[in-house]
Amino acid sequence: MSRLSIVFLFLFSASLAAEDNPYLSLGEVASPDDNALLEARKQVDHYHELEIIDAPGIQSFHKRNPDTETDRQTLCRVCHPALPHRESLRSRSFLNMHTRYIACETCHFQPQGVSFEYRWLDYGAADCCGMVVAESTDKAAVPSLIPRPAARIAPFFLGRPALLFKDDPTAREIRETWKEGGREAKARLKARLHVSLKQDGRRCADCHRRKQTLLDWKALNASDRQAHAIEDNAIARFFARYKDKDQRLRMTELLR
Amino acid sequence: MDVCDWHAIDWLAMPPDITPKRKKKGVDYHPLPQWTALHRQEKPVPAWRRINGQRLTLALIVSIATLFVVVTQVMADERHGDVDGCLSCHALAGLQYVDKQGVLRVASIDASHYLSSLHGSVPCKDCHRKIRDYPHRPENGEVDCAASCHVEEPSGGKPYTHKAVTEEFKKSVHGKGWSKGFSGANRLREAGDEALPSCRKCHPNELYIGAKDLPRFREDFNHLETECGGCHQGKVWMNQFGGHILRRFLGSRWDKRDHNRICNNCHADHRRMAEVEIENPETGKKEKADARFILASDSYAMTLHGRLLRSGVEAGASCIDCHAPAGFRHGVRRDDDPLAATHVDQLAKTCASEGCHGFATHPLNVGFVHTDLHDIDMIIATSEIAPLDHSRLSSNWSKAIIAMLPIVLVLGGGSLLWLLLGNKRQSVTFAVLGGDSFQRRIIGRKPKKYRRRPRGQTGKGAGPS
Repeated sequence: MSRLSIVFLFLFSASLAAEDNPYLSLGEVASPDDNALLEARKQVDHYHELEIIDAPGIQSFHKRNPDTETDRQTLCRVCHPALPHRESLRSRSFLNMHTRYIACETCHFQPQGVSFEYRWLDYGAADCCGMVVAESTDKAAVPSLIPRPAARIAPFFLGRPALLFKDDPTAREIRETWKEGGREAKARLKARLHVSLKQDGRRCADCHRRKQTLLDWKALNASDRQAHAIEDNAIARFFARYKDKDQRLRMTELLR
Repeated sequence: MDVCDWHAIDWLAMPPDITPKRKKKGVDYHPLPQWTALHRQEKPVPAWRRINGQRLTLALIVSIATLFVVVTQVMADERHGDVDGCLSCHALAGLQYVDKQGVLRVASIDASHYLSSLHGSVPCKDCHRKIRDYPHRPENGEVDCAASCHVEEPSGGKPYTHKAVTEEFKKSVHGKGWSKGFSGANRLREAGDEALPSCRKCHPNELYIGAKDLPRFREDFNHLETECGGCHQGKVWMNQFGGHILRRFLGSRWDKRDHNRICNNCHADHRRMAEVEIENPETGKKEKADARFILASDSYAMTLHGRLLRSGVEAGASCIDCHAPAGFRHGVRRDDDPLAATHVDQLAKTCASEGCHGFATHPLNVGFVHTDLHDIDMIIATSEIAPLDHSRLSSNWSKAIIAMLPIVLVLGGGSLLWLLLGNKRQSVTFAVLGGDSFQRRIIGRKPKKYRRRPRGQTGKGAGPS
């Protein structure tokens, strides 16, 4: 067993005893290395608040669907905007679409040696830390898999959600440090928070496949038909054909 | 073996009967030589084995082609959902990102709205013609509003196009605005040209039947089969023409207030209008728009036309009723353009159009025609754009005020003096004209000035006798 795993286990038991948030106890388990600090310093130097322009004066020709931003947001939103994916031409729209029903941590929070359960979490509930399970009668009334508009699929560890909301006291401290700290303090904070976060997140096929998927569809109250539609998703199959990030494929490939 | 082959037949050596036969007097004919065919006499082939494979293949191909034509062309061209399959992604909610310029780019389309819209029958690629690959190239998705599409205008059967409208638009004062090259990637760039309108700046994709007309449309459509279907039978007509005609039966999609709203989106924005540069026809140089232009929307709102429309009375003239009454109503021109509806030589005809001021064309009414509907004097005196200064004293309004001022001063001053200093006797006041006669005939007494005062009494306070 690696040293890191032992550290994880030690801190895990310590965290249970102290009843810390799993996101903190599992996430901040090790100090960032020098490379991570160097990278963090560069990112802090280039960081700027993103101002979203909606091209005033030129209305959208096609009517759009309404937005579903939740009132309550997780820690990630302190720095990252509501539509955080911008780099990949191919997948950024689809990834941003997934933020409507999947928490950031589900894809990006991957501490080593830890396996989570993924369940629906209602961001809008007064007591957020209980799992939301759609009732069986909900299916008739709400044919969508999403039980409530503010619900997101979030990681759970031993029955507790492994994420931190912005209104949490710890999150407030982090925000204050980010807001008022110097360059070095910001870089260390950023590096520490991102130790257990994977920039690339999950692949499409981690969920959109028939066997050994990341998400338990039954536990997420999906019907057989819904589970099959997700597992056998045509767009995910289409994306699997790309060999590199700059490649373009013919639209007709979607039919294969 | 061909029957023309000489060896196909076997001539009998001799005809059995060689006696010449006389048909007519003097004309003999001899019996024809007898012959028999040499080809093998085959047994009769059953009917099912006489089928020619080539002909069968040809018949099959023709049938398929005919069926194809019937299905695609002859049958009613109903409002199809999504022939290009674009909505399989674009109907997903939440497809959006922020590009490098910080512009929010939304790829999600409300599918039910689109399919119920004016362009609901237009396949996506009829407008976004060059989209073939994914990720899409922005330039491949650019839209040209003048391009034709596969939707056929029902009465003429020709592909529909906005080309005539864009050509009229390009000849207008707004002509330098965009009419093609629209994409989500260049909205910010177009927004920078704030002074110039474009197709998409004024016209989003609206519902085919507006929300306000939908209840009436539904009620009328329920009677379509009984009312129109008495003569026009069949689903083809119903699907292709019924809705199309019934939609027009409801009237224009926009009323005059909607017309004004579209114009006011820009023209009521003083900041935007202040940025407009207009070419001086004499010097050829571009100059900033003057106060009259900037406040055109405000001055119009003060006129009877503007007030009528604001009150919901359709009798008022909208912006384009004067500025683009004919054609596709996109041909707004400068007032000094001889072809402009507001040119001094065209005004009479413009005012008389649409059954409005029919008498405007009479030569005696030239003064009426030259009424300035954008008179800057209708703007409030405290306007920052057109402050009250000497230039506004040259108008007829100012001259009228100046002419009436002495009369107002005299009458007003006199009234004031009378109030302050006048004799306020508590007595009955009779009219100057006819008052004496009234007293004699109705009341039955002499007017006061004719009554003799008793000796020893003063004139003041003396009551009637």
